[in-house]
Amino acid sequence: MMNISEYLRTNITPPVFSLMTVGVAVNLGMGQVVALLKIPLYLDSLGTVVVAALCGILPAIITGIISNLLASAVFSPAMMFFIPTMLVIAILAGIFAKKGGFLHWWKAVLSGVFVGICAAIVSAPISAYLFGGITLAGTDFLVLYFRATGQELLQAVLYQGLASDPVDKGITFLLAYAILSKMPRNLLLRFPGYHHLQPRNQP
Amino acid sequence: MIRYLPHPVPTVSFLLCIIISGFILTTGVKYLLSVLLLLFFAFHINGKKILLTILKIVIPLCIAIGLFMTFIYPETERWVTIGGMRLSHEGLTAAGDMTSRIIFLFTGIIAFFNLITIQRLGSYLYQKNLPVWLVFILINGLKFVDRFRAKLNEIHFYQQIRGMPLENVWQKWRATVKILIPLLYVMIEESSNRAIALEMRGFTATAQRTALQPDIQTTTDKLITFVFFGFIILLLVFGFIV
Amino acid sequence: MIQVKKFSCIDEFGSPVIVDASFTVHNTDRVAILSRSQESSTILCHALAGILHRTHPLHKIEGSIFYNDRSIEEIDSHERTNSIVYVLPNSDMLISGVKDTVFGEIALSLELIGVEPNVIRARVSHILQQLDIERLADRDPDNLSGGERHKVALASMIIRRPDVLILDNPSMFLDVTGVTNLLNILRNYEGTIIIADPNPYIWSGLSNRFIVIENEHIEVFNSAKTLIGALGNQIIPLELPSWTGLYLKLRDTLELNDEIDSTHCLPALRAVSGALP
Repeated sequence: MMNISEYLRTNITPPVFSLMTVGVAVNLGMGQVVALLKIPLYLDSLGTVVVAALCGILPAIITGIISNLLASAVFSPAMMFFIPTMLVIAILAGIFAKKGGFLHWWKAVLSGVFVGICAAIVSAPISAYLFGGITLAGTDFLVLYFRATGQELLQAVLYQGLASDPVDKGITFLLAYAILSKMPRNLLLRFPGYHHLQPRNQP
Repeated sequence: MIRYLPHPVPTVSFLLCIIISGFILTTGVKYLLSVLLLLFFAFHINGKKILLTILKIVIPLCIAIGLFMTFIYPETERWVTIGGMRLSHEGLTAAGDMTSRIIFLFTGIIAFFNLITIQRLGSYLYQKNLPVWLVFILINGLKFVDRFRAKLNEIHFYQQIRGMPLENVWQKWRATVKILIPLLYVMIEESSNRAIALEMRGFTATAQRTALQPDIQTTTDKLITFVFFGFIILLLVFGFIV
Repeated sequence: MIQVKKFSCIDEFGSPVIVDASFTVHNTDRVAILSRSQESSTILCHALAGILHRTHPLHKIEGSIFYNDRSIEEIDSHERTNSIVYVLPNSDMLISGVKDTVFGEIALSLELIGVEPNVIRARVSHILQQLDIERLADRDPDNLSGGERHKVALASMIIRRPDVLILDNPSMFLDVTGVTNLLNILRNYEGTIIIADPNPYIWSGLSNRFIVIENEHIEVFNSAKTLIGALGNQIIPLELPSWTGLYLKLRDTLELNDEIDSTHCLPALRAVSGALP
């Protein structure tokens, strides 16, 4: 049995925690990219997904938690309450990366859509209970629509989440795949999760 | 002006207290406490900043929620008419409950992040023997966002020169990929060089760390922590009994 | 003591970077690595620091490097970085930002390896004084100029006093006084120093051994004298700008004929570039 500090020392090596910092920066900075290119998505878990693919589940979880903590300091305090969503994304992204989810673009999209569904299910109760489904984003109209058709609040928020999250996460995963598949091998080889990104028959 | 910038321990206990009481206290009490909090912070060093942030984030959110709840609330059984408008009674109650919670929680959290800097929190965690990499990520996360933005603007500029139409979905996708690949390449490459530098600085050392300036809590700090924890215990006890 | 035995490095496209290098670096040696290509000297530095297989994972590495009779790649990271420290040329990377003052940032290097606070204070003050950056002690490391940051970064590495200090291109961001201060520190350093720098004549006063990488082959000279002699007699076709420049200048000013003798060359070199051993 390894103790915790020994486990952390062998798993969170300098390349890993250095990449985790980049992951946090990517998570927080994607808002700017989205605004610059006028894309109607969040893509704010790209950093977590990249870290999950390159380093594994635990680094991705820590990246996610710290991103949301820092986001609640700079953007909106609401982010602090969505840490569970980020946790689900981190864990599932790590598992899918290990199972070869980043080997083909369609696998990446499928895992992204699945992660999106799970994220919507986790974030719906939080969003409904704390904010009544209002996040001051474009998708609020969906909640309004579902409410106007007589749905309960939690259901309306869940439907809204199911309508937007799978698309968002699917594209996030596809982007992560596109980015990682274009990175040079000698860079990716420095990270522990590299062998999950390459087909087995290749050296 | 209150010149007291507290120690991380009372500040974190303040945050805990805010989060727990935000879910237990009743609507009226929360409104009252929020006003008291706002008044307290109005006279604080960062008072203006805190008030501005609340105006920018919390008020629009609350207005949106209020409007949404009072006009579209399908479960309505009682209607009230205010100023010629027919509003849902249940919706108003729910909106009041929700907005009170949001104002209270958000005020508390915004105040928390203004009472303490991430740097201060990180240096406290460092002294409490948390892994140094965790402190590194916490402190450098925000600093790296600035680097990310600078690089992003640079790459965006050059890609625009090369031509980057944004008319349809496919072009937007191409543009996103064209910007993100060089951006992440630069960031990841830099991070792997940084990894060598940090390793050489002894971030992998296993020796017991020492602290140059041990972090000492004053009596005021201890007292404040004690008060907040007492409040949390009271809340939990009464919250579950009532 | 570092022993390099038949070390070869071939890059990912199959072209050799270093071929069949064998040499020994003894304790308290001051080695200068001179190379026309920045890449080959950096690769040699990484190899000596034991990180080559991680920084260049696709390079084919042959031969072995031993540190105190142990293969350098088998030594654990925390143990290795206690005795061998590689200083990157890019100073931005070396400042961790964990502490909000320059003093704290330099002290962090010692806090992490568990040095007593009193000793830390004394050593940090000493190195700040040596590098002439005492006025920066209370500044935020993020708000420094490039040169100041580089000095802080150097201080935070040198203060660890490893047995082997490998400096990659240290003069890149340093001004003249910075170089002089660094030279003074390194002169009294108790341990091995390995410097790779494209400006070799800055370090010629310090080094007692020179490793010249020319066309992937390594040649070792045990004194500045033999190196100058080799240059003068064209034994190695070295075209390092500063060395050749200096050599040609000397030849013109002293009106020496082409078959320059190192005994003529050395006094003149002393006069031009300061003290040579």
